[in-house]
Amino acid sequence: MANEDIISRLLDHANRMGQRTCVRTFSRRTKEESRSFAQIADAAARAASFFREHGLRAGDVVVLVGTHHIDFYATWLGCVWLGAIPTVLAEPSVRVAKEIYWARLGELLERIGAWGLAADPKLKIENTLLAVPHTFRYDQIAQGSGAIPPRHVAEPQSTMLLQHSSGTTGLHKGVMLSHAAVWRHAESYNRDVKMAQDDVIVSWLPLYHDMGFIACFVTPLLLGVEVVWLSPFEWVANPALFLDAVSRHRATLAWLPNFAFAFLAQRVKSQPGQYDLSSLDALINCSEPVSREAMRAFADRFATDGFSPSALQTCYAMAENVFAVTTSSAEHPPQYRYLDRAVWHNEHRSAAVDSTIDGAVVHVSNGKCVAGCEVKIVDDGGQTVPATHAGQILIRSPFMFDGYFRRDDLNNGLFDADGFYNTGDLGYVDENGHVYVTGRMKDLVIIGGRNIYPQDVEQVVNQVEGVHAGRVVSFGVPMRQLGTEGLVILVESDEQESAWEEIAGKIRAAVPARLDIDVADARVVPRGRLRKSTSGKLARGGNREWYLDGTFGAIPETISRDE
Amino acid sequence: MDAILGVVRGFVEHKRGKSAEKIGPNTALLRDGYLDSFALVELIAELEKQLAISLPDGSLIPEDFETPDVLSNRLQEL
Repeated sequence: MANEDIISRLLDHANRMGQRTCVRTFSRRTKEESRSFAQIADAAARAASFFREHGLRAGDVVVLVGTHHIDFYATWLGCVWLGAIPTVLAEPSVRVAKEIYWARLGELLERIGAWGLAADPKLKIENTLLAVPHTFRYDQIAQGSGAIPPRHVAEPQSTMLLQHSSGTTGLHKGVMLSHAAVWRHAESYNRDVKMAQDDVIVSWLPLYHDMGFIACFVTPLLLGVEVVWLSPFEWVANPALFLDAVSRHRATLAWLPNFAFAFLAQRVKSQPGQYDLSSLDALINCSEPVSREAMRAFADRFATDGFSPSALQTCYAMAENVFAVTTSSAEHPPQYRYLDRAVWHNEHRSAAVDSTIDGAVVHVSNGKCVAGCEVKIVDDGGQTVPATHAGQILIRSPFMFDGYFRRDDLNNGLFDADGFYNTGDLGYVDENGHVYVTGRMKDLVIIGGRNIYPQDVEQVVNQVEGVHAGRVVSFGVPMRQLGTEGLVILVESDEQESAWEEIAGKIRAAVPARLDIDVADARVVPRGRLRKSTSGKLARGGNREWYLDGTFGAIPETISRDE
Repeated sequence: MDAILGVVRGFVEHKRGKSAEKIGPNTALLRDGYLDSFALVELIAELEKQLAISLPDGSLIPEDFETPDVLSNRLQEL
């Protein structure tokens, strides 16, 4: 049991292979730094001494903001050393007005009763907006102060960390994960991923998101695997940085959201053979719907750089299950399943057909359940459906979350009588146990791996001048080339038609500024034209259908009509 | 500055399909929805082409595109 504790694991790595690299930064803009396991273990102990000196105790919550700083490691581990509960939140971005960011963060800190805030030294913390007893910088914390305190001996079932899944309303939902859950997940997931101490992970993923946090931070720490760490901000303006890092450090493993495959394939300008991607054993597509086109585009584009298509893997994950629910692997690679379009649309059943049949739908599998995890597909009445029939995806595992932190309003009925959690996703399992995630029940929009709740968008748009409050819908649509979803907003207005373009412009400005979300299309439609459901509420799905049909006028070319 | 403003406006009009009339030196390009982060790679290529400059890989991040003015200052540093 003692080994389930991440600090024990870290000290063990420091003893056995102290000189090996734990993490190194990789950048074109800032000095590259690296830390060995021994250095990280020392820094974690010093951070614990700093926190102890300032009164941090087991069970206190510490919020970490700003992730691409090497002392983030010590800060996060220093909290866990004392049994305090760290949680990582998104840093301010150039798209969100500073005062809005800090005010919203302040609200969250207050609601969760945070002990303190730890931040990247580069951030200017607007203290006046924060009702939090302590604010410190990572570099300050990692210097330590005073004697090294004894390690808190954590009960395996006690809360180790909170994951505030990305998104907007999501910011207020901290997924509680225990020490035991995090460890069991790592053990279980690694039976398929098989990361070992000679592996090297490359990641530009933000740590406030489960893929970056669990796959590329927590799990490699537990298992003693090196991480080459890129800044997400630097990556987005220079995606080739990722390829460079893989080449230079002979990386073997990386996780990317679907859009990144397409983005890299389209945007990187390079000569054939400029990169060497032959070291990659697995490039794992996860956290948004996987598409064959995006993966194929990547594999074709970088074939001359030594990339092997057999490295392409897929995964289905969520913070509520620590991370992975299903994954493909070398033993059971992703399946490309061709199915009959009519049967799929009319009967919600995946009837396999020959790949040469015209108009066949193709689904990419998300792999099979990781060890210990079970998937059950049910119909709307809760009855289990046979293989190949689509329905709601329920999951059960030995590493499920313990509910949402201080959200008793959400915590009743999270699990059914048999201990299954309803993911809100839709999909099916084929004859051989491969799981296909094909949609979702909730109106969630996923843009570049980030969860967006339409109700948050609509709330912001309701306040835009000229918009008829309450006559607003938003939804996600597939983006043809980007391999992700785009956000569409439709509103009605009481103003003359001549003012509509200006109103649409205000909406396009308000949403990124308040929510840090890109808008693919925003438009005003004539009064009374938005579709309502039988209950009189505006129907997101119905309006989405009309929008894609062209009922509200021609749609931009970047948006795809096909599902 | 004018040259940079011109490239940004042209990019927003032609590549993003949005009206760029109101873009001035201090317009918040990302915050006001004229650009999104995934468009930056293309805009960098456009700047290089039209201004006949060569920017070292990775020299710009989203923050550098806050406004045309910020961008202009940053380009001068490079």
